[in-house]
Amino acid sequence: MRKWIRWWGIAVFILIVLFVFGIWYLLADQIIANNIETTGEYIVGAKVEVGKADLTIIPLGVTLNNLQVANPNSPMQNLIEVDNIRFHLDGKYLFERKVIIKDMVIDGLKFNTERKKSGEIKGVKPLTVKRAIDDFIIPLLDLSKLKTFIEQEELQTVNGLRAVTQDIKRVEKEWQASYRMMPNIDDMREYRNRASVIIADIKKNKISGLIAHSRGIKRLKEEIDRDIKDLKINQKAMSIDIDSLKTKKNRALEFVEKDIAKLRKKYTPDIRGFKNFSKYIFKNDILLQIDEGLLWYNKLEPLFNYISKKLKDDYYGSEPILFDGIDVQFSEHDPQPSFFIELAKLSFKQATGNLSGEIKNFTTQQNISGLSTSIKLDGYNLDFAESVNISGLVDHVNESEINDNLTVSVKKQKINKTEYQIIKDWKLNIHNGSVDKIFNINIHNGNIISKIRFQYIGTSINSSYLGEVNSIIISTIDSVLTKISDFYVNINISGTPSNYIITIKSDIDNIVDKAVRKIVQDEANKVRNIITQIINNKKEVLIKDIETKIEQLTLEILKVDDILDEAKKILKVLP
Amino acid sequence: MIRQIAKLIRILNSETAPINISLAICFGMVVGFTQMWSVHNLIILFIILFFRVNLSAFILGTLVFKSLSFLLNSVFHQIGLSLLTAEVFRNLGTYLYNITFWKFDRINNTIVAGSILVSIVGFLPMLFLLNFLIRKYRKHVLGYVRKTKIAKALMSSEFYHYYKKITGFKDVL
Repeated sequence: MRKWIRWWGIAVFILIVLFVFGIWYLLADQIIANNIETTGEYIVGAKVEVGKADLTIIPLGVTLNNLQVANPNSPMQNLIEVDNIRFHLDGKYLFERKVIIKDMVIDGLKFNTERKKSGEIKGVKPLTVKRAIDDFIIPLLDLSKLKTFIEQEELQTVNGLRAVTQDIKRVEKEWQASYRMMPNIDDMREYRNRASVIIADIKKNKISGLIAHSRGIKRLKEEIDRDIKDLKINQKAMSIDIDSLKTKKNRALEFVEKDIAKLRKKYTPDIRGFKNFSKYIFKNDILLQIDEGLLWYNKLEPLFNYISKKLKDDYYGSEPILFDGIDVQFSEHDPQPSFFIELAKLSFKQATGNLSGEIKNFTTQQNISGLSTSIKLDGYNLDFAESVNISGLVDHVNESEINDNLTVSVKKQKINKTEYQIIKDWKLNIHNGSVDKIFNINIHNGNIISKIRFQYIGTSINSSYLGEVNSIIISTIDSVLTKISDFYVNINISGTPSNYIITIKSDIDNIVDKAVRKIVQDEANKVRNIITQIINNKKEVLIKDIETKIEQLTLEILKVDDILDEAKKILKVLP
Repeated sequence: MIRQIAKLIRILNSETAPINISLAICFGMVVGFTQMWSVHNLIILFIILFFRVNLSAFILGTLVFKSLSFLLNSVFHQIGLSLLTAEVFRNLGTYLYNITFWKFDRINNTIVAGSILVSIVGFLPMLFLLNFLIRKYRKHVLGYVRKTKIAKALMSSEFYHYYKKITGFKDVL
């Protein structure tokens, strides 16, 4: 037996174990910091840095100093910066690889702080925020420019009349060609001469003359009949052409009303935008904030949403962040989430005042903890507002009944000069006064039902337009807005976090709409008169030309009548 | 590394019991295949040091099988997944998972479970196979190699003696 045992091996084993634990303890602070940074970067998609981590064995706890979480959309800024985080760990669960924190203190929370180095992680795409569409168009009320635009418009009436003019040219050309081929007055003279010779001979020689010229008379009659027929055919064709030209002209004139309607629709000032003018004022400020907030929700919500995936039948598992493979879930006698904070006390260090609050029961595995996560923050007598109250609930305990709720109430937030861009060259400034803000955001089973209300009190509004369009509408809106000091803005969000509709309503809408409506109505009447006048002018010129040419064509028919009369007269005198 | 290989060759060629060498390599396989910093490997380390298992063979076995494990991770994952989600394993898996030792050892992880299963299943066959190969090697290959001109030339060369002198090695062959 002795030859199988190495007694000194026990000493070596103990030395190795002590050495490994010693090294681990020395490096533990760094290991903890690295694990927090790796996990944080995986979730956020930007640099997470821990200034210093400190592990204490008795009592078992960790202190983190200067934690910085970079903003993936703005890498030179931190989303959150925390001066100090202290927490105690439940040692029993550490052996089960579970981090159970009974109490945590988070001191000196700051938001949107500047970074010295970029927090971008190469290869990670930033969250892209949908930009609001700049779809507001100032109605064009400059009538001199309007005339120029309408002059250049393509009109169906004008096109129709021009087509008739072209047809007239074609008919004229065809007539000229036919006329050259038709029997003319010279032909009639020749027939008359031949008829005169025959008649003179018959008068002289009586019956013998008649017999001698019988063939000639027959031939002459046939020739004249043929010419009459030819002339009548051409005359009839010409009449049909003239009728057709008249019909086409009348049809073209039927487009006059349609042209007027089309141009009115195009050039009459559109006042629909003014019914919801507040949308254009606040869209870039509010819509983008909501877009960004919901993007973050879409990114973080899945972490709460049963990160374990179905593997097979009723087997579930999750991919560990710091380890390969899949952790398959088995039922536990004492089920505990992998990471759980029972209570985290927060204190915000703002230059503007103090905010404090708490987060309860934080875990991404609420199905295991059976507890929803709640957040509550309160601040009073702050520099920027009279009070701030935030309460939130992330309830993912039951997979089929998911409720996320956030209520924020800010009372009398002071308004610093805030600039709102309505369109490219039109800006609005709101300053002075205060605003009460209430956010009530509910997402129930993936459906948003949220209401936000801003109540502005005692504000001063002014606007500046630097564009080229000299619009009476802008100056009217400017003048009514400057008189407003109290107003509300209501924002409703509906749909899903990835496909949502936002509506913005305000009492500004009615004030602007009322002011603009009368101006726009007067301008609309002027526009109609201009359009009608321009179309009529263009139409009259063309109609005059067409009617003159049709008159000339009618005269051409009369020329044929003269020839026909002559032919008929010759026939009459022939025996 | 070269020193360990040389040591292993020397042990192979010595009178050391084949079971000592094959057992060391098999333990090296368990440590190499499974997660390095785990409780079961701490126990194996104790066994290796306490019992007279050949350390050079263990170190070399660990290095070789650890290198192999990087290539076999996906295989371990598949085997582990099949094992952990097998209905027959449910009760045993639940039982093991509720023991702190196994939970700390990440027994519910597919790669860990797969690599442990491969190591356990492969342990005895590998042990007998290596035993058999060592015996065959000593009986047939070693005698033949010793008689070859190259081996004779190598063992009588100045370089070999010089190397033995500065490293303190005994005859490899």
